[in-house]
Amino acid sequence: MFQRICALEHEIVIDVCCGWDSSAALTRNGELYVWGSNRYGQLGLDPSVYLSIPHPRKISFGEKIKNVSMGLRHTAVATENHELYVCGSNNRGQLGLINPETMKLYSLLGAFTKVTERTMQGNVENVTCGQYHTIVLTKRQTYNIYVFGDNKHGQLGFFPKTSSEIRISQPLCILLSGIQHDVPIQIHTGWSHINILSNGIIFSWGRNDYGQLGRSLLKPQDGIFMEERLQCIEHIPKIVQLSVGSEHNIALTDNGAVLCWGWNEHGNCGNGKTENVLQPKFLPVPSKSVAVLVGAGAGHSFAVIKDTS
Amino acid sequence: MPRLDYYDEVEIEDFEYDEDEEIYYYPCPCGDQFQISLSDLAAGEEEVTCPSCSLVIKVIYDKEVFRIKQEELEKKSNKKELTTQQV
Repeated sequence: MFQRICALEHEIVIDVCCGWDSSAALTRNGELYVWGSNRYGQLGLDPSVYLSIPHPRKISFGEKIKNVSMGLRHTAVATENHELYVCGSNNRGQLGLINPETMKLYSLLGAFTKVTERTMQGNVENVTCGQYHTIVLTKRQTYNIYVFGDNKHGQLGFFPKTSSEIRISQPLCILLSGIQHDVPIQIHTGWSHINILSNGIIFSWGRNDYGQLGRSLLKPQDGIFMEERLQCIEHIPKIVQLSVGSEHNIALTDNGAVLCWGWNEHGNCGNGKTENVLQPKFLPVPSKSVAVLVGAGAGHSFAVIKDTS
Repeated sequence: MPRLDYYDEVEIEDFEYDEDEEIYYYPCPCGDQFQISLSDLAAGEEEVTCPSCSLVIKVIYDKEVFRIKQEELEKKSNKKELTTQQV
């Protein structure tokens, strides 16, 4: 059963996010609360002191937080002052930081650490974490994205042709061809695929062996199937909201319809079947009602339906 | 026959070990966890399953190290049994 979190009763929470076994809440005042596992320092605390935190704990930054995102075992926040802070596991380079003294990767960081402006041009607007990767949206006249972390499945936007391209340990700018650069974009990431929502259109790249990218025409071949070209999902209505699970996706259209695609072993695409859904499929919404909000978890999804009669 | 359709290949260092259960765990995208016992690893098993899923991952590890580790654990528990018997 849902339980009220008493420690947050006096705060106005505007966003929450979850890692594998850790959570964070963002308040209207731009304050960050964290709780759950801190085994890899993903709460921004020293894991040798705190292995886990049972109640929400406020983390001080000295500036307001704009957005927070959690990967499996790492956390990233973007501040109102356009700074990027990261903490947690760095086993695949997902923190984007190299120890300046040793020039080697940190194995983990048990405190929120700033990713220097030197490595990225423009103001940090937003950050999104996948399983072991991080995507940063920046703005300098136009919008750009920087990526780092695991690229085994092409989730950073290009095929790993050499072993050094499987793990990108410092921010790398990725060109967004075909996307309008002067309007804000939303980035959503699954465990190893990316969706970019721009002007109601979804663009996708990364792992595609369960139809995660929503634009497969053919059944994927044996082995890992991925797509590095950022292409839009065609022939679907305008999308107003999108939520991405581990390996599946759910989207809300501008007329209150719901679309689902991707991994479906647990019925997570909601079509009553368990075969993977390779292209977005409409889900039935009861008559005289519209969907107003959709969400996806690991192997599950939900939609909030509003009665219009 | 080696499988071609592993969900992922994961190094043993990325698993979380439960010392009491002697089981290694790794997150599965369904929300449950892939799991393999220390004794299975010592026996050379490399396919790791999830109790809630059809997905299978391959664990990358040094089989020799785990075989020795298991032997040491067995020696320890044998010694314990011997001491208990003497008492």
